[in-house]
Amino acid sequence: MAATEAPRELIKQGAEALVYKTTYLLPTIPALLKHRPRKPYRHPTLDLRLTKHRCLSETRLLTRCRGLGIPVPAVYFVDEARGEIYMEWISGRSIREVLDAMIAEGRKEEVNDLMKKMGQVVAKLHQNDIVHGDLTTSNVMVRGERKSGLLAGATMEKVDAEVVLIDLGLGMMSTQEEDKAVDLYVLERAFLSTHPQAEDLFQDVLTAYEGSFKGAKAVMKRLADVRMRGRKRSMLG
Amino acid sequence: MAIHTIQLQNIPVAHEVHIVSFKDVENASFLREQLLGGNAEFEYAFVDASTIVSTAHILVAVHQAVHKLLVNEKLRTRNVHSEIVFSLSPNNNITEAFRRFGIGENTKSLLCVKISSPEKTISAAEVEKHLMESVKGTQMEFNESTIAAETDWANVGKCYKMKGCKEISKEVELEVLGKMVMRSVG
Amino acid sequence: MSKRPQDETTNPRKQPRLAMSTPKSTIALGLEGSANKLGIGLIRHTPGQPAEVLSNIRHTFVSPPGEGFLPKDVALHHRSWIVPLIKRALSESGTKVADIDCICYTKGPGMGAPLQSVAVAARALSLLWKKPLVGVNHCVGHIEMGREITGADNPVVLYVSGGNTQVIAYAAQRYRIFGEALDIAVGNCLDRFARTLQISNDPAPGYNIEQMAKLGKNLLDLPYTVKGMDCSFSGILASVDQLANQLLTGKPKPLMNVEGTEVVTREDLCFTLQETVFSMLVEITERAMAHVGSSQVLIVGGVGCNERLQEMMGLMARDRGGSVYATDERFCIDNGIMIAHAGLLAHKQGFETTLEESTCTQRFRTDEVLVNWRD
Repeated sequence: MAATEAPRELIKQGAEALVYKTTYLLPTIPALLKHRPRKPYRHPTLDLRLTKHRCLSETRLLTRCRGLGIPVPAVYFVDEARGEIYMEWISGRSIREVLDAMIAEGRKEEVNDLMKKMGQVVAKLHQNDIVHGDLTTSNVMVRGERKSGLLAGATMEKVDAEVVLIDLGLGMMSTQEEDKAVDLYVLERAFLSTHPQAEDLFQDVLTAYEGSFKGAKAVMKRLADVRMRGRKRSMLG
Repeated sequence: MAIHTIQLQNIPVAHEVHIVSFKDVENASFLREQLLGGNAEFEYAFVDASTIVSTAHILVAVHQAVHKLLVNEKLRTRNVHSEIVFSLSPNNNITEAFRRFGIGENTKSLLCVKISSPEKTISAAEVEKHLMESVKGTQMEFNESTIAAETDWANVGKCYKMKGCKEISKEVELEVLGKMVMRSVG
Repeated sequence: MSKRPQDETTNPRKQPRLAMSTPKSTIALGLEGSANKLGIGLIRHTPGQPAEVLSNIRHTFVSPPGEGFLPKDVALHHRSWIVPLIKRALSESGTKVADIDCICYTKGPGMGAPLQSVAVAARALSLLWKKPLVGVNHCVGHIEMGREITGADNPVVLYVSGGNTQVIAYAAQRYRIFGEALDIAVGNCLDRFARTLQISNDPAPGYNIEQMAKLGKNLLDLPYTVKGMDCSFSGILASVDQLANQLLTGKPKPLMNVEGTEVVTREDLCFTLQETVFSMLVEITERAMAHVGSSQVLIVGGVGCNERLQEMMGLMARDRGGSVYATDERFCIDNGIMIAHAGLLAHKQGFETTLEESTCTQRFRTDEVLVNWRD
């Protein structure tokens, strides 16, 4: 049966999911498709159970974030049996991609502004007991434009650099300071490993974070512990 | 012709979607009786247009219902057309979904949706002809401004538990769609 | 499995003592006793050639069904067996004491008392024979032996045993731990479940679970606890133990499969547990592989003998266009040869453990070891 197949362009192949740029509903509506393919090594019953569970929990988390005003992609459509989530296409680039260029071009104010926004967004996430689970600089997008108007329309509008969190596939609800501190630690590691000149910049992220909610101090304290042991505990034989 | 025929992404061509919209409808109760009586000629999704906020809003509901049909997931309602009405709901109460989003005694503005199928191909002309004969009202174009003109925000607020919305915006639209998605995933 | 030739020409190493034109062989004695196996190994390294296993023998302390092993009993076992075993290794391989270049022993991690009894033996031999001592990290021993035997050049390593569950990759002269079990090791989870079901510890509880799992067909629901590249097993153990108790007592009602059509068997429980925990292991390994961009995976440690785990890992690796490397029980299960091999690699770089430093430690992280024999 002929279907009006939406073209798919593979943009990322992770361990768990394939990510495509595609369209949803109409050819004019760009969308991101996150597909968790079958894992042939897993028992089919377990595979289906896990795929469904993960699709649903990621969807719930994204929806919860949007409800709280935390900038994440909107979910359009979920087929949990096939392991597919269609979501809003975020036009822009990751912090990882833009940061070095910004620094090289001496756009200091923009960089500072970005760091502050990043700290605030992560703070809002944690304030609401949501943990990202894989908070790298690749998973924080900066967009300078977005679709304006309604879904079926197609005009773009310029906006002030806006920070959007993506890929909450490993995210979860947690009240634990440890989990939140690990989020920060992962972000810090990502910063230092890809932008060696950005050591002081991450401090700006933390400053904004610390000033954003009441529990932040305790998380920061925990971060110091996590840094000390490099997240890992000593190992019994 | 004011009938709007759409092929949704990733949906077989044979399941093309026909949409005709009307305002100032005078025979809503007749149309509703045909549905309740199971009159096969009236197998449509009759949606009360005052609950619809944008073109994508109704298309998302159509997509959800047809997709369910195609992947052989059990429909929660009688057929793909009633499933469209149910798909608009933010919760799993079917009776309430029909009452809120489906055609009622006093419905004045109406979206009629017909899904063609490989077994029973139906053309845009056939759909439009039958609806023009059956619905007493003024036919409208199907676009954002005609939809927006018929939206009853008090009603939308009640249906989707959203307070204080008075007009459509990108955020409001996504909020409504988000509630439909959450219903679909249980 | 193919052996990887030791590429000595591109990686010149400091040769001990004699300078010469022809390459000189070195021989190490390895003593391992960090858990219930006492292993003695003799290995010979000759530049430009694969390592040569001269002797690799083992004696295992087996506890009765339903019981684990206590450190003091294991230590006693090691003390009683170490002398006859070393004698046997020397005589079987025809190795003379004079040919031995160093004595390698497991410094840790492992159980305190057994580690100590073997360290004492190592020290005594070192003094008696006047040979240098080399303290070896048990985990590094597994990794190096696995690489040597399989020829896997730069794999992501899954190290799974009764005491350890780690996903490891090499970077900048360290074996870095990317993921690990946050509570008990996967082998410990399997062993303890075997005790609940009174499965025999001979030859090993994990082996017997594997054989029973082959006959299971009903998959029950167990928790699945993966967190990024880490995982945890204690919740799974508690759940499966509960199911086992229900199965054994039939209370409050007989244990049925998910469909409610069949009574669940012991084999079904073994099958369920294996399928669940191995899926978790494969998943965290795959995540690490994606992270470091590798398509090779090497499985080491006692649980690594499990053929179902190897099969699942193979399916995953195939999907990533890579392959899985595993060894059989001679090298997977704790052994002396891996200690000899890893110790000799370090010794050839000039590493030596003085008598004063020749302690052992229950905690010894894989990433603490400077791996200066690799580029």
